[in-house]
Amino acid sequence: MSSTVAAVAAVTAPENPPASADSQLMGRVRDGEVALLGELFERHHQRLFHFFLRLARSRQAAEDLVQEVFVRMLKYRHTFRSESEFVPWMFTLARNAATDLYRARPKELPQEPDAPEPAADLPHPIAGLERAEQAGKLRRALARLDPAKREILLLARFSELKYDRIAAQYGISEGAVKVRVHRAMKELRAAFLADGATQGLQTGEAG
Amino acid sequence: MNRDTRTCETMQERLTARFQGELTAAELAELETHVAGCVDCAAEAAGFAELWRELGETGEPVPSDRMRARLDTLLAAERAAGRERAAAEPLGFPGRMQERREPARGGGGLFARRYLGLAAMLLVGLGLGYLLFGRSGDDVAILRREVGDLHTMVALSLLEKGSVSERLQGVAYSREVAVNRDFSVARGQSVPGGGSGPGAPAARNEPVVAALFTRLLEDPNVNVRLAALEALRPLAAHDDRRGEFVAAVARQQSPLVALSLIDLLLESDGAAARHDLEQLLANHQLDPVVRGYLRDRLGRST
Repeated sequence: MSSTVAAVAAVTAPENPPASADSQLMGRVRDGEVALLGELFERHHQRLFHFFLRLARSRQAAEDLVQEVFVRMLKYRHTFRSESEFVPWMFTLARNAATDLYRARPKELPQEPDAPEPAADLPHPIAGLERAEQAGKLRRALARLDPAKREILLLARFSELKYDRIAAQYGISEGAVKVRVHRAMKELRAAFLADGATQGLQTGEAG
Repeated sequence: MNRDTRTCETMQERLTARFQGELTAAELAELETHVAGCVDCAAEAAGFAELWRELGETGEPVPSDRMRARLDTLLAAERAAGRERAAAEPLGFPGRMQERREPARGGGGLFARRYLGLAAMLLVGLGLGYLLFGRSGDDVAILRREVGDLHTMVALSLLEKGSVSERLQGVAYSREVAVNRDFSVARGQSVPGGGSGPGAPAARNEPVVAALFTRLLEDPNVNVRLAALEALRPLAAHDDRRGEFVAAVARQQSPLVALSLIDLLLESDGAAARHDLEQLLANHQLDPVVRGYLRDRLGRST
């Protein structure tokens, strides 16, 4: 059974470039070498995009939000301190950008279970159907989560920030972060499993 | 379950923390021992691991090229703005000097480049026609105007598109055709190093300028509004246009854009803009954040 826990370790290993390198780059952007923002984009846009894709409703919204984060980096570059860590700063901008978007366009929030699926760019061959079904279940389960719980869970999953850094972002204790992330995960799993049971029931009834 | 429920709950609370590497060695060892002997917690651990992995795999390709093109457009706009600011301040900051040495990158976005390519091909075709059929000077002037009309049409079309990325490309393209070309918005004015030829007063491309102001005032996307602002920057110092920029400050819903407008006005023509901006302080509907910033900037600039 301990192999289950060991297998979990494989999920967690962060593969990020050294934080100090990011901070140095951002410091140079702040000091006028704005083209270096492109380098930071190459390093971080992927996980920002996936974070927003889970948080928002559509690919277009996720793209807009990634764009917005980099606009804000450029605009507020003078607020970056060299001794700061770049990734927490980036995710602070990301959360603010998402909050502003939802305030302006509430429809961009993930919808309740019957929301249309985001348009996928890749075709789904038969082998991909199961994956697509899993993805749909997860999307619906995420949509059922309270927005605040969804945000902190996704922040923990995609930012790879330690709990003390997340705690600093929210102004709460590290223990509170631990509890909130776990509860969000537990609720997500319950919704995920319930969705499967409902689907199975519906399939059974149909048959 | 032959363990007490409380132990299982405590152990399960550690499952998520485990993914984050938040457990001490002792806590981890305790968790592993518990999971090895508890069927329920083992099932939970496996389920959590699967869900955590699934959560991280969106299965969606990242549209890097498209997003990168948009970023490059913004960076090009920022660098251009930096160069204009540096040109206006010959003693500029060291950072700006360094920035100016950087090679231009990206340019106006993939779409804009494609349209510029089409326009270039058209110009080559027209040039060949002129060589083959011996057009008069008047005809060439007419043709040039027609090409200008084509640029305008493409720019206006892109600016009205439904998608944000296309409108951003429209703004970048408008900047290319309306600011950097010799039938331009602002090159007729005394911009250092302007490319319109000696003393060639260029007619403003009013339809494109008007469309850019519409984007600045009404576009639902803040990125498009910011890009439009940068494209219009050369006009901020013009007396007949300053009023539109000042009015735009009061109409902006996003403080980010309003603050950028204030910066732009004070940097472009501080003395003249200052008077108009002071009057804006009397507007009671002005966003408090914007008002505070404006008061601060006006205070500092004295």
